[in-house]
Amino acid sequence: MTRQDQFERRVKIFWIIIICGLFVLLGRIAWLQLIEGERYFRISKNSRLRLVPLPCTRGLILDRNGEKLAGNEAFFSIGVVPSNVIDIDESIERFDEFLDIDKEIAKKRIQEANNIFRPVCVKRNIDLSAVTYLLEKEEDFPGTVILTEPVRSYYYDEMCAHVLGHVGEVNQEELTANSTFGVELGDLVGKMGVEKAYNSYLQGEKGGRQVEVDAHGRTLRVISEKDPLPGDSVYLTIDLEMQKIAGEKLGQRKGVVLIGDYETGEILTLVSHPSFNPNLFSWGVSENEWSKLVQEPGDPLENRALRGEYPPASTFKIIVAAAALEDNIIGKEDLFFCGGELPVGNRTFKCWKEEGHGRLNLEEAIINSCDVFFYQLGLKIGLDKIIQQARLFELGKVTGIDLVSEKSGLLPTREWKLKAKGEAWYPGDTVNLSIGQGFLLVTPIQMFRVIAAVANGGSLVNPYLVKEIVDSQGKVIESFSPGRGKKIPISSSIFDFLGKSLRGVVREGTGWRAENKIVKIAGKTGTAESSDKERPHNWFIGYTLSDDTRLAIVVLVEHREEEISIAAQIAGEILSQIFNKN
Amino acid sequence: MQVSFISQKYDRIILLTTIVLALGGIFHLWTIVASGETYYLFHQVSWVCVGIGVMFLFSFFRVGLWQRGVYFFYGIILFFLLFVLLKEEGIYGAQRWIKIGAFGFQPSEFAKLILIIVLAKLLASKEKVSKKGIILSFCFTLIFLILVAFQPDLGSAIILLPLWLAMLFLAGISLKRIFTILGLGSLLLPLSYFFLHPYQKTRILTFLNPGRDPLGAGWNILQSKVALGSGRLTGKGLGGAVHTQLSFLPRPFTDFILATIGEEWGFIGILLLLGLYSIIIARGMKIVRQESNNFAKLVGEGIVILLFLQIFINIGMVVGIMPITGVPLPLISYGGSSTIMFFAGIGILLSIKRFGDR
Repeated sequence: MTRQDQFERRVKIFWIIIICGLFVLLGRIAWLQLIEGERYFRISKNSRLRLVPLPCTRGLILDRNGEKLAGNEAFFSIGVVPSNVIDIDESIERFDEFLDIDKEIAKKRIQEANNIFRPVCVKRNIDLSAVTYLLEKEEDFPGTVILTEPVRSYYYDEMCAHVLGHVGEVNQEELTANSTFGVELGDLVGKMGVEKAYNSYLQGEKGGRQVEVDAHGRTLRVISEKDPLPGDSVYLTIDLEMQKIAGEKLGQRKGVVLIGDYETGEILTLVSHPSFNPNLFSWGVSENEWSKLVQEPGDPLENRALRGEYPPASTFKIIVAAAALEDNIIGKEDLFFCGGELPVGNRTFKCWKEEGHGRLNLEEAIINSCDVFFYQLGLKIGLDKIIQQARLFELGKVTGIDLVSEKSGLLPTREWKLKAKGEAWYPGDTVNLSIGQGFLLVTPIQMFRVIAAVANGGSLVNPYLVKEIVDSQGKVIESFSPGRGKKIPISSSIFDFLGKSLRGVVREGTGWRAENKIVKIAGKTGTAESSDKERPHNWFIGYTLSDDTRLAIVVLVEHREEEISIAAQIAGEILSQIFNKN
Repeated sequence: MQVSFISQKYDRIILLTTIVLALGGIFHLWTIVASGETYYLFHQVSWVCVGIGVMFLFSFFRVGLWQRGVYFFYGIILFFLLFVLLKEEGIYGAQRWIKIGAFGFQPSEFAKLILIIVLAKLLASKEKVSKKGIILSFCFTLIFLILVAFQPDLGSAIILLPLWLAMLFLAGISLKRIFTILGLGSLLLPLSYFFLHPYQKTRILTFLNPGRDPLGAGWNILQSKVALGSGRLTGKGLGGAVHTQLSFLPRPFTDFILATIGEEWGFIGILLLLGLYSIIIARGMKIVRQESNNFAKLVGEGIVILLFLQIFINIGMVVGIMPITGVPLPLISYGGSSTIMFFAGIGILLSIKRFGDR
């Protein structure tokens, strides 16, 4: 068979396929128009199709022991079916007589409804008296329906707000991102925290029913139906009990408490204070309440554990010490003298202890947090090596915890300073850096990784907050266990030395307030000068020396009121209470 | 002299049918847009005028021109597809458009035509299509497919696959190979599905089966069936598309225009429309059969198949037997790029006839 013939034959095959295809279409159209035509004609004449949405419930958020942190409770809302509204402005005016309603938004929603046969929510969470009023005067409110809606509820109010986040009405940007997902204007989506990061799991899928109704609006026939699919439930690594204890001990102070497993990176406690009540957002927060929250001093919406950037102060000495030992800058027994201050260039840098520490070695310098020792050590090591060491602990980089919009802190370099400040790097800057002051900024979650690495002997853990995702049938969909992180390339003897020194800090040094009878703790304090006028921030980063419960803790108190290392004291109280319960 | 020149060299039937179809489309558009609303009408009229111009222009080029310049044209479309992807804002959440002055154009429409020509060039040159040729042709298809799919315009992207297979089949590769490709494809598709996130799977399932989404796509299909069916045998007559005019259907003059044709002109109108399409397809095939140049034959048949595929996918969607994809009804749906692209295709068919050796 020549190619010509073969082509002829194949063109013929296509001809047959095309004719068949056209007849299939024709047949289908004939069926719709000639056989079903009368019925469709009737439907189209009276517009007797209705769409009844079947809302889906958002997945639950639970703590590691299955304690419910976020769920859904039923509340009443007012919906309007746009196709049945005669005069939009008039209807809205009527609502305004007895409800506090945002007229602009309500009008916009009714006018821009995707589907004019479906109720659009105009006001969430109305009280029972408004419901009865509406039901009594039903005929005055054409097209109005009362919707019983599942409303997102957070059972512990402020306690876990920054972990859980909150929901809010979808904005245009999120709508575009979720366009094929059945999400429409007026729907709620996660806006922060786990609610946002795991929104695609929590969201679920709406259902709906297409029905043909008679002239009185009664259902004649269900044309098609889809059951709603509830969202998946998210189990956190958070332990509610520990969260509670940490919150109580931090009290009304501004600050952060982070507790996690130093081997796996699981976060058991994340407290950021001041906090907010996520329930406020569940009914669509009003303009007023929103601006109140945003303008409130102390930024309650800010998750300080991930987004607060502070100088690490003396907690950074851990990294400077590691740099010194790794590069054999000094031996463990080498001594420096501290006379209470050190002149560098034309400036004098002071130790926190005015009368000085005298002659001391590295371990003693860590235990007593001697600044002058570290000034001299820092100058000897040099900027580049210190920064290099800080990079190994991944400071200046987001930790990649499974929440969005984490901040990265700042690891200053010569190039950075030249660009940002237009100045060269001075030895004085290195002096400041060696005690964690100056330009250096870290987030509490970054310091969690640093102390966890010291605790576990040099592995950089990947902190995470979600343990497991379970669908509505109880089947585990995803289970997270990042396990041990990457190994920091520093010899393990250095970590042993650091561990020994940090235990000394709590036993007999600056961290003595964390010492207690119940659990042995190792750690490092830090007092960060933020500016001349404000009170300093106070750090404690540490871990437990217990075989079965491997906890690392970060406590940060912003602008401490007390003259003592309050962070160490809080850490000690929290850990002893946790271990007491066990 | 000019008139007799046209009558001898041109396939008058295909030429006239195409113009009648497009004018009929404009007339129908006029009946469904609100009176006094000239925006859409004006645009469609200008596009049809440009289209007719392009058709005559293309009928003057020998197919050899396409054969020689095809990689150049492929490159241009590739550039535009990348350009569309890289620029920021999108219309309707998708980035299919390039704005030139007041008019936007969608490179993905022209990608279909250029792909036909590239495939014809790759597959016509050798006596027997080699494995290398198949793989190469697949790569050319895949590049366009991925770029178009990322816009995201899944309808236009997915149509490229059957087009590629059809071109392979026409080029005479053995049935064994065709089935191997189909087999591999059906193996790979579910395999890649396996690696997707659960939420991505839901999206794909909804895309394949809008019945899963009775609130969105499923609702549109139901309305489209009601509109079409309610036309019955004779239709509701001029301006009678009550159902669609009440904005039951989203953008009723683009992808869902057939529903309004059925509503206004009834089954008779549909018969007329499918009749006109059949004439173009039949004449196109005749032109192809009379041609002896392999390349020209493949290009011509490719254009006919593309025409049929779009008709089938679009109407299939409106009557609820195909998934919802944004594929316009050739020469009828409101839209410049699609209209001009099909006029260009018909122009190429005309040129094959004009310069044909028989």
